[in-house]
Amino acid sequence: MGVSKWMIASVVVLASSSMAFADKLDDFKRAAGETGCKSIPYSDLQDNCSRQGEPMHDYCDAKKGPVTCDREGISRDLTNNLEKEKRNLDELKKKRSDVDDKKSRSSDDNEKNKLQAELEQLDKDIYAAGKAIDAAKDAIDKRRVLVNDSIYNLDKCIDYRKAVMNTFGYAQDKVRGENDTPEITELARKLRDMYEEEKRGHNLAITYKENALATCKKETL
Amino acid sequence: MQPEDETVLEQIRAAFPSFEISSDDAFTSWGRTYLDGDEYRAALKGKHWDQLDTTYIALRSDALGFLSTRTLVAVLPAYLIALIEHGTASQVPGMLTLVLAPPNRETDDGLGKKRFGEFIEAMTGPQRAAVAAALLRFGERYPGTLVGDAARAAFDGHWKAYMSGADA
Repeated sequence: MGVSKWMIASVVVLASSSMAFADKLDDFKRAAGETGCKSIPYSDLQDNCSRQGEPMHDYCDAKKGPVTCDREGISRDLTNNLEKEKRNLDELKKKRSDVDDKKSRSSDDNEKNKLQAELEQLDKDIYAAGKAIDAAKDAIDKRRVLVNDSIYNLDKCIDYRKAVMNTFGYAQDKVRGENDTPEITELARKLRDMYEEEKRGHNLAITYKENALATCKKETL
Repeated sequence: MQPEDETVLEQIRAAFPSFEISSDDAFTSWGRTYLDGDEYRAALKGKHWDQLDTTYIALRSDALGFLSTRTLVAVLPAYLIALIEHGTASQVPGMLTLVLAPPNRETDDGLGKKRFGEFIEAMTGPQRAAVAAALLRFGERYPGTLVGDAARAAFDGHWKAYMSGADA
């Protein structure tokens, strides 16, 4: 009686083990023929990969906002332009003051009329210079927002890209220990080699965004 | 765009003949784990390099790190054109300059020696010369910038040797 119970239990264990192996083999076969996150044979890591991939696309593809600051030097050019416009305004104001003094000292009506016309033109120029300063300040404000938003989005993009790469890294570690059957072992080896070879692509994609982030950080206003 | 840019664009167009890109094995060798592989392959399917959606390929510049050598060469002219036409306003230079950088002897960075070697071998002399001309032009246009200096470093470190266009 004891022996037959033991035999039944053994058969049940063996049957469930071979079913588990068959399921695992199916997962590995499927993963070996798939791309992207589906190339991971473990459902938990596959789900994790997809969960990280979605926000990665949101941030890296600029769906959440800008991810590029164009070239270095734009912020400096805008700041220099504002300074130039301010200097221009100061010069115009000084010139106006000089002309006004000259007019008040003049006793010649013709000269007074001529200086009055010059003052009117200078007032127009001063008004235009004020507008130019406003526009230059506005451009700097817009640049500041673009740079700050890009830095935020690129930081997030890089974090999620790294999370995706790390998920493949976890999968690589996990397949390394798979040796339930010769077929699973062979498929696990192929997946492990693939994850290893493709790290380079993920690293390049991360460096690409890190360089974009470095450019933006140099452009902070 | 300046006359020097036009000259480089003409050189790229002349070096890379237009033919239908075979997209089936685009990610088989190095990009099975690339998350956008299926979408990118669909964007290539049935297209010649000069028919590609330039906005899309710029957005997916990261694909360059995962493409098989043959597909990388096939799409390269589209990226080189974007490099010259859109300059730093595009996302292309950041990734393209990483892929075109010769791997460092010690760190074996970028595409790595093996893939970079295959990539160079897969191109004709005029195609290598066109890449060299594009990098040189971009580096001249954007000196002192991270991507401009990267282009110049790739040119000086490797591509300069192909400027004559001869099959070396």
